[in-house]
Amino acid sequence: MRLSTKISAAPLIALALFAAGCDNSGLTGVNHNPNAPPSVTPQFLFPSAVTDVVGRARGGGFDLTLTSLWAQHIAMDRFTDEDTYSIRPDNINGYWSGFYAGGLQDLATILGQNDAKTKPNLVAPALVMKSWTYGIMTDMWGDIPYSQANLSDPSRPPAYDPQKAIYAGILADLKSANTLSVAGTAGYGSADLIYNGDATKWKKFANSLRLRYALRLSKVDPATAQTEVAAAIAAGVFTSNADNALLRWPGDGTNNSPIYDNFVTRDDQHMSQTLVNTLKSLYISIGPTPADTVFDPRLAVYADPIISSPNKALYVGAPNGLQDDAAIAIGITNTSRVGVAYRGKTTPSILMAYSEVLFDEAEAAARGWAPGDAATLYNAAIQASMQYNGIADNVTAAYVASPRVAYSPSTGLQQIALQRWIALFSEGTEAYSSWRRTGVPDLQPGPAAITTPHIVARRLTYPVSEQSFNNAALQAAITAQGGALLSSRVWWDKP
Amino acid sequence: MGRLVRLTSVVIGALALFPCISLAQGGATISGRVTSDAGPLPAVSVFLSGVNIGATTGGDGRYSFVVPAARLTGLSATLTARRIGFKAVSTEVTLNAGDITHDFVLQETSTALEGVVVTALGIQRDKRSLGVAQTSVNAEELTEARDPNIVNALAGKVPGVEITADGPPGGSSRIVIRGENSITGNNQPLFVIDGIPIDNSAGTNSGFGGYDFGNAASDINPDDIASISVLSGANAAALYGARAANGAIVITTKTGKGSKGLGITASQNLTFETPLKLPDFQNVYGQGSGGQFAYKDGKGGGIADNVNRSWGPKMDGRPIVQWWSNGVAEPWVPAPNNVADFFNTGRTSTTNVAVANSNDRSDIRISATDLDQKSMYPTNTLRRLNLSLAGGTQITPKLSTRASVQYIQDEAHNRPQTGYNSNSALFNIEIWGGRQRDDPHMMDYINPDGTQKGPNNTTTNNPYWDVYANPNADTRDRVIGVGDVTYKFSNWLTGMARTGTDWHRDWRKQEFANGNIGVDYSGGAFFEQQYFIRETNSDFLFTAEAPAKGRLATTFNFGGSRRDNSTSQYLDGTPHLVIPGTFNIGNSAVTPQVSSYQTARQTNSMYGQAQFAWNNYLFVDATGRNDWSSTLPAGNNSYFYPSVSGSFVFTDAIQKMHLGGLLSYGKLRASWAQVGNDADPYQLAVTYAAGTPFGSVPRFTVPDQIPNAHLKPERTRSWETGLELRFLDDRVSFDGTYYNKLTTDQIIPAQITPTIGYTSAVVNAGSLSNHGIEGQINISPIRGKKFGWDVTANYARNRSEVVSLYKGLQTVVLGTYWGLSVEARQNQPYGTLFGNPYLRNSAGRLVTLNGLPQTDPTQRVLGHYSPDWIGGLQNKFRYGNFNFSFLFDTKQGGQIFSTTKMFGNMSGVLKSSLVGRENGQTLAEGGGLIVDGVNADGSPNTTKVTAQAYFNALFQNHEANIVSATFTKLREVRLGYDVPSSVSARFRITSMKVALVGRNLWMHAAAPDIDPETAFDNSNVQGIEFAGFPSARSLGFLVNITP
Repeated sequence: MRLSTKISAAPLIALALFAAGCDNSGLTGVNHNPNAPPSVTPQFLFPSAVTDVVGRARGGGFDLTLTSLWAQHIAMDRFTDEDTYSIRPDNINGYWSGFYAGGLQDLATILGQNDAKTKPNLVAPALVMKSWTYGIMTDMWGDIPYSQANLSDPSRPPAYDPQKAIYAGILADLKSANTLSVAGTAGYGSADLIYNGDATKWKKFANSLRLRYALRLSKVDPATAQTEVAAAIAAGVFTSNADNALLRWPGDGTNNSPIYDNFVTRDDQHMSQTLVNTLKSLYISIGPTPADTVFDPRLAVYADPIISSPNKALYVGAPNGLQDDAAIAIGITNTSRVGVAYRGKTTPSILMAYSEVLFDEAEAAARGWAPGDAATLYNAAIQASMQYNGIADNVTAAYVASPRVAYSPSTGLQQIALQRWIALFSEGTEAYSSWRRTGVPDLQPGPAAITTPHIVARRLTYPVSEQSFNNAALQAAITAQGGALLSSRVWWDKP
Repeated sequence: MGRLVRLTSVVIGALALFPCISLAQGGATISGRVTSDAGPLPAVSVFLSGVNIGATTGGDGRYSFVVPAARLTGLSATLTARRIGFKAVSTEVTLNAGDITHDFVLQETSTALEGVVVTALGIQRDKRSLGVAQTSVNAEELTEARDPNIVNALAGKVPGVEITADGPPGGSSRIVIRGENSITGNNQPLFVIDGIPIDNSAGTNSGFGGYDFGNAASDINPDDIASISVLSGANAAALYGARAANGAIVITTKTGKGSKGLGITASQNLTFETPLKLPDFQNVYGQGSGGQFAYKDGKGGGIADNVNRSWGPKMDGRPIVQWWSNGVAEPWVPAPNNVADFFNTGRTSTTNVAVANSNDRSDIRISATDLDQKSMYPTNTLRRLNLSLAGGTQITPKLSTRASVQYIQDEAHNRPQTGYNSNSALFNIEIWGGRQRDDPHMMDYINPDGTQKGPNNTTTNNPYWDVYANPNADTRDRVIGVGDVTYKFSNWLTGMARTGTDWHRDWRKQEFANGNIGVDYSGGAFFEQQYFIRETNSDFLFTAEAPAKGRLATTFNFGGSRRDNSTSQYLDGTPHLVIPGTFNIGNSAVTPQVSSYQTARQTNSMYGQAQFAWNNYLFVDATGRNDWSSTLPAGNNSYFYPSVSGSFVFTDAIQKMHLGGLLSYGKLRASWAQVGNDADPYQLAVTYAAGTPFGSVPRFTVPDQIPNAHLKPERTRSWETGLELRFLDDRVSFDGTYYNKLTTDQIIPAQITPTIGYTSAVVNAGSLSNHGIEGQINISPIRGKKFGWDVTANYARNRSEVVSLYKGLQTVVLGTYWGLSVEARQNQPYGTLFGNPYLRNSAGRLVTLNGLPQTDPTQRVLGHYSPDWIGGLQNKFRYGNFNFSFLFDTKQGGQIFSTTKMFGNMSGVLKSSLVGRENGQTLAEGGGLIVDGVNADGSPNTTKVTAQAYFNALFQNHEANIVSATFTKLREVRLGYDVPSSVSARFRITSMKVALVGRNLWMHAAAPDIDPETAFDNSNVQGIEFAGFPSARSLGFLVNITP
């Protein structure tokens, strides 16, 4: 009998298992993700969004290996693909999806979950960062998804908005960001990596960006440009370098300046001959002989002297757009690297600087669209740029007085455009757009450029991934723009 | 008295078993006893063919049945005794009135053709009753010419099984049966040991930089395996449920059953490995660019001395300053064997000792195996210890129990970094190693101050620095334990309960010395990972062998199981250390990188199976299973799927089908099955991903993948039909299958336009179809007592098609490398290689610009990674005590994107990059080539370009770098000698076998420079190759002793 008591354990175990197998009520609980929270507050999303979009737009890929090449601030000394406008599809796919599925989605989440009336200082900075990002994207790609983007519904691939509509949206958002921002109302606080929760500065940044994008319409829609420029300036733009929109990288190993991280393992992006020669051409004579000439003082900040020469003041730029072997043949020790100030661990990324605002104001004044004296604003803009680069005011004074720099009303718009292009060093997207709108300086394509006709590319082609994922909308956009080749112009870019 | 009791019990037994027939009167009783070597044999089916009446033996081995008077025709009939696992025995009886007594003695069978096979859930079945394809591989096949990874040992032996192995020792192997079913999920079969599913996950991508830590199933020790059943697809494996859509590898381990005496066996296997194939290098031009080179600082200070490509001066002995020569010009000469000399001769030693013992109630087996590998890659070693203990006992006549436990300990050092990675020695010596760089100088890799010494100081490490200064190590501790109890409620009802766990902890650490180049690890760096994986399965199974009713035998199985799987991973590391040389997280100079991740999932299941056997020649099976999964939403987490199969042994049913003795056996089979599958954990709701804090500011971000709260299970529907034929007294046998399967509602992370805000969405979409044929032929041309010859050939071809994807979606990209995507593309076979071709004009001519071929920016299909067909051919010869066997294995068709070709030509190291520099490196020297193409305006190209410019232009021209994946390998060769007992007895040895063994001795491949079999990694991304670890040619010997 004892034996049979024992052996009855076998069916009992089976029955216990059976019961366990049938108890399915606890299954849902097993699937609760212990690794990540189901919701977070905007204070955690906003810094992620800001570092993502800025790190990308001002990073080693999108800036150094693309937009700064096309602005001819930088030139490749090998791997010359992008420098000859031969675009590696993976990279373009990556930038595109990085913006939309990265920072823009964090911003869309903040904007979708927070009411502008009750949380103005959470909404306004998000609107500004969204506008800053979309401005860069539409400048590079023309028509892009905007009004229907970031809706988080995979069954609804968005249509592409015309650039005209995107610009209208950006200008409207910036206008409302200025209106919304209320000093003293709770914002992101220390999670605001740009202004540490200072609502007044966000107002100024919103208005300064509005000025940037209003002026971009100078050729395609001068009337709107004029109205918006005047309104932006009247609303209050940057008034000193202390207002600059900068992202300051901690340089702690995990969050270094992306330019620093880029140069740690590669040394193929050097100073462009175009920028170096331009800075050399804007020299100051401090004595009677040629030896008494001093180059634009920013040259020694933007660039390092070449290391193959004992001459500590020998700066040489590399030509843009060479064939790979021709670029290699020059030798990387024979051309200048980017200056240490622009490739440090903590080098800030510039979203927008005071000098650009002053150049824009100068241009507006020269066009008669805004009050002020164009020459004064032009000199102040150069001074702001010089100050940012640590140049003493007396040197700046000599520089702006030199005949090659001094403002002349007859060539004012060209001078403003040239100086803005110089001042926009490290902001490849803005330098490239400034050149496209003004034609200053007179950039020429490199010998190996693959564009037909043989010109400097005027826009980015669309990522090939969109052909796979949203082709109908893409084709409609291409048709609407009359083509989207490297040689095609975006809407605001008129000859 | 005793006789009376026995007689009574027989009568009662007969009454109980045959309630209907027992009423028959006036017939003849046929009775007797069936025994085997082990005594009385129960559950033997004894029946009269042609009359179709029979009975099953009871516990005492006795049977008895009555033939009705009407059937007593006076004619002769065949009385057959048959039981699973035993050779059937027949005798002729004459059906006259009067009792007939006949006793049978059955012999156990061991051939795979007939006999017992282990099917899903460990249910043993007579092979003739199976309606599905299933192949068994016996233990000797795995150990005779052994590969430490049992997955590799299956190559070429089972029709339809495709194995792709990665090179390094302990590396992972990918196994796919009958093509891929899942678009982005797992496509490898389930591994089951003694009824318990085990983990076969593979560590870390190996193809694109990183280390290959092997697939977990490679821990299984071939010495402990009794047999392997390969369940080729959903049809055979439906009872295993969701995870068996890709088939199952069902492993039965050895037990002590049947062992007598000491039961000790010992074996020693020692093999030596050398690279099977290395790239074909050029030895004409050395490092540099444009024919120029002079070393100064390795940073571009000299002439092209930061360029790692071999487009420099001709290596004709001219004096040139070199990296090691301290500014002195030394002869510029080739180092033709610099890559070959980098490798050592590998050595693999396997030692196994096993002790097994048994008596009539209990059995036990203890086995210990030591695998000791010294790799071809310098400093790389792998040590694996397997300890296993298995035992069982019959506690009472009704109650028995078995348990086994395996402990496995792996320890590896310095696994090679593979693929495109600036810390990969292979990459740094093969692709970016100037052709003049010689190993003696390169081996001087470190300066007295500990910094790196090497030829390049900007982008690439000295390969010997990679080997010696950047060590790595990993260990795995693993326990697989299983225990069961079986209770025999009655003659016809058995219940079994079982539980088993596979648990392992993996620890891995990579160290990088201060002075690394290519990746900034100033101060030194290390990265450490710990993984814990636990898979517990508990199940029960009732088996009811219903009393035979005449010719009909039925068996029912009913069971349930619960699966719990949990994983944890803990990662820490730092890119910069304070004090070089101390690789501890406390010594981090920057915010350390730490992360953890856990998953848990549970599946509950109930299932049943009914088997109907009609007269032992017609069989019908039906199964059903319902799963409840934790990873699906509450309303959709229960799913049922059925299967039905049938088998018809027509040669038994219709005597004429024997065709006068030509056909000894013929069977038709068919099956239809459905299998459901669940999702991975945590796919239902959004969670926010933590980023590293920005200084002190925490960051969270919206994930890139949008979850789906309405997921439902995916479904695989599959049918197959097969034919088994044996001719000429089984001298020739054939087994062929046609199958067709479709997996729908796939749970895929569909890539979507990122403008939605996510890069992918989890959706139920897409269907993937596969159909194909597979077959095996065995021929025994010679079956002499002294001389025997057996040939086995198998063949399989599979055709897959991505039938549909998510709406509007043309493709699901499985991986993109160097601009080439491996995709599941609509209306294409699975594994499409999609990339940029040459730019051609409408007439198909290459379009050139400045003399260079252009790349078409519009991507298109350039190939597919799956082979057209695969096959194996094995020959086994036996002459006296000698035996000799060899196995060829082939994959025909399919393409590979060879990045070795692309980079090797761009860097000018490959022999193929000599095109256009026969007369010199530069145009001035008379070098160069004119590409056969046209200019944009249609005029013929006449511009001469240098080879350097030409191959540079082919970089990321994927079409130019697609090669054939076809290869044939001499996979196994074995020459064995069984020492005669007369000789071995002198050494007091019961038996002794010695053998010479070789693996991968020869290969034919159309592709240049590479072994096309090299796996990219263990995932669905195949068809890409990058400086993979060379596969090994191994040769050695085996000694097997039973004292």
